[in-house]
Amino acid sequence: MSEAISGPEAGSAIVIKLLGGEYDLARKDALLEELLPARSASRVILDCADVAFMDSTALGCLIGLKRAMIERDPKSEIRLLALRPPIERLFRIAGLSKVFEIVTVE
Amino acid sequence: MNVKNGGGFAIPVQAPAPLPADELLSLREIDSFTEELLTQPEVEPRLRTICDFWVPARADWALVTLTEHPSGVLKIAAIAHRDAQRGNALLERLRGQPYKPQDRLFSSEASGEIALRLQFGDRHIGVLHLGIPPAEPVNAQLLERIASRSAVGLHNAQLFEQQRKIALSFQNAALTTELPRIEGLRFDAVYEAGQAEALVGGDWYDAFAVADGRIVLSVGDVAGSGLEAAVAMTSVRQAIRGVAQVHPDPAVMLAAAERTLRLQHKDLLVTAFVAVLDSVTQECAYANAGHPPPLLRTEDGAVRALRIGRPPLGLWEFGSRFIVHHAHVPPGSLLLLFTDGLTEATRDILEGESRLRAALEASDILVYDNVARRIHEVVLGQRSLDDVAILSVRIESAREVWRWRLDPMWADAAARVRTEIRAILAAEAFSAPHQTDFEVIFSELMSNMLRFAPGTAEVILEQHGEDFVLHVLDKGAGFLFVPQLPPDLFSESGRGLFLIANLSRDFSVVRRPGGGSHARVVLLQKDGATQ
Repeated sequence: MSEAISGPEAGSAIVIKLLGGEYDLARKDALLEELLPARSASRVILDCADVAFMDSTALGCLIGLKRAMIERDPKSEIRLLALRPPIERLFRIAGLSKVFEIVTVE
Repeated sequence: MNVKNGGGFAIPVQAPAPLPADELLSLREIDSFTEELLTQPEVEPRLRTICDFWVPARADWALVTLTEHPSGVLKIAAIAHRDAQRGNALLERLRGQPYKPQDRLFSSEASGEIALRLQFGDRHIGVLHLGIPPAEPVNAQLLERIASRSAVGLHNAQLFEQQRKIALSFQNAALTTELPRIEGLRFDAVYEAGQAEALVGGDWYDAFAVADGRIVLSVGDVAGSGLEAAVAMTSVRQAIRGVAQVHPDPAVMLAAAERTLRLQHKDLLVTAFVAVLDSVTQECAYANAGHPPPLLRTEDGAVRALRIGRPPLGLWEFGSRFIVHHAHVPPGSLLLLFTDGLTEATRDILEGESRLRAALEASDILVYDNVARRIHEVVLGQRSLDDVAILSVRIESAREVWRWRLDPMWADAAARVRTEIRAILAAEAFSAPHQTDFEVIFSELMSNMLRFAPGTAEVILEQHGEDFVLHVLDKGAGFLFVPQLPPDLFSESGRGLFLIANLSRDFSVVRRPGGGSHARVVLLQKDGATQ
C-alpha cells in the first residue's frame, strides 16, 4: 500500500505504510515488492506501526533501498516511523541507527 | 668460620696450611661425610648424618641448634648420644627449645664441650655442640671443614624445604577449584603431592562449564618440579581456562597453552589433554599433547584408551596444528583422566597400565561414590612417590531437553517451532522483549541454514541451570561466525550472526564431527542484561 504525496515535492517524497506482520527470509520478496515504489524517491517515510517482527533479511532489504536511493541522490533519506521498541533496538545493535532516521512518536 | 670455645677446650683457629700427609685421612673422611650428607635433600636426614659422623666414633654426644626465622633464636633440632636411648629421650623432651649450656644436659660426662658456629655466607644457620672426651686429639681443620660442609648442607636443605612448602601451598591453592555440579554428570578428583624425595610437581586437573553448558576438562603435567613447575602449571591451566570462555575448542585451547608456555616458561615441557564434553549431543571432542591418553569405560564395561596426540607442549614447531578427535559418550560412560604418577608408581609402566585398566574394568567400579579415589586406592594403594592427579567424569543420565526436527524450507514448520519455543520461554518468565530477541535469533539461524546448509535441522532447547540454550544442528558444509559488523555500513548482508551474538548471552558455532554445524545460543531472559 503506497500513496504518493502530492504537492511541490511530488514524486520525490513518498510515504509507505508497511503491511505489517513478520518480516523474515520467507517474506523477503514480498517486502522488496512493498518497497519498490520508494526506489525512485529521494525521501521515504516508512510507517512501521504494524510491523511485529523484522530480522536481518528485512534490515538488508531496507539497506538495499537506501543504497539505490543514494546512487541517484546522495542526500536521500529514509525515515522510519512508529518502530516498535524491540525492532528499534535491532537497528541500533546492527549499527543502522545512523543509516536511517528513526522517528519516535510519543 | 668461627670456632668458639664453649666448654673445656680452646680450639686454635688456624689459617689453612698445606695438608701434611697424615691429614689425607681427614680429607677422605670429609669426602665421605659430604657424600652421605647429599644423599637426602631434607633437613632432618642431614641432621642425622651430621650427628652420626660424630657420635659415637668421635664424640660422646652432639647437639645441633638451628636459627629460627625471623626471631633469630637458636632452637634445638637434633641430639645424639653415645647412649642412643638417652639421646632420643633428650631430643624428644627438648626439640624446639633453646639450648642453654648452663643446664648441663650432659653434666655427668667427662667430656669437654666444643661449640662450632654453622655459618654460610652471612647466614647464621645454627650451632653444632660436641661433647669430646679430653683424651681425644682434636683435629681443628677437620672440625672446621666438617662444620663448614654441615652449614652448607643444612642451608640448602632449608631452602629446599622452604621451596617445597611454597610450591605445595601454591599448588594446593591453585588446584582446589570446585568441580562442576551438573545434572546427569558426576565429577570426582584426587590430587596427591609426591612423597619422599620427590619434589612437588606440576600436575593439574580441571573441569568447568562454559556459558553454553559444555564442559571443559583438562589434565596435564609440567615436566620438572618445584615452584617453577607449579607456576608454569597455573599459567598453562589458566590459558586453557581463558580461551575456553571465548572459544572452547580443544585445538585452540592447546595452542593457547603452547603459546603461553613459550612466552613465559620457554624451557619447560608440558603434557596436556583437553576435552570439551557436550552432554546434549553426548559428544566429547578432545586433543592431546603428549599426555597419557585418558581411558573411556563405555556403557558395556569395556575400557579403551582415547587416541594419542602430538608431542608435548614446548616441543612444537610453530604452525603445526593440534588434531581434534571425537568420542561418543552416552549415559553409562566413564572418562578417566590422569597423570603418569598413577601408572608409573611401580616403575613398570606396562604393569601400571594393566593394573589401571583392570581397576576400571571392575564390574563394581560405578558403585563407588568417588571413582577417582577408588582408582587411586586400587592402583597405588599407599604408595605414591610421584605427583598424581586423577579426574573421573561419569555420564549418568541423558539431559532432558526439548527437541524438534524441521526443514527451514517450509516456513510453516519453522514458524510452528518458533511459536512453540516462544511459548515455553513465556512460561519460564522470559520478558516480552527477550521473547522477541529469541524470535530474531531463531529467524536468523533458520535464514542462515537456508543459505548455507539446506536440509533437515535439529533444534534443541535445553535448560542449563538458570539459562536456556538453543541449539541448531545442521548437516551442511558449515559456516564460520565472526562476531563483527560488516565493515561496510551499507552492506546488505552479514548482520544476521552479529545480531544473534548481540541479542544473546553467548553464541558459538562449531563444526560437527560427522560434518555440518552446531550453533549454540545462550538466551537472555531478563531485562537490562544487554544493550
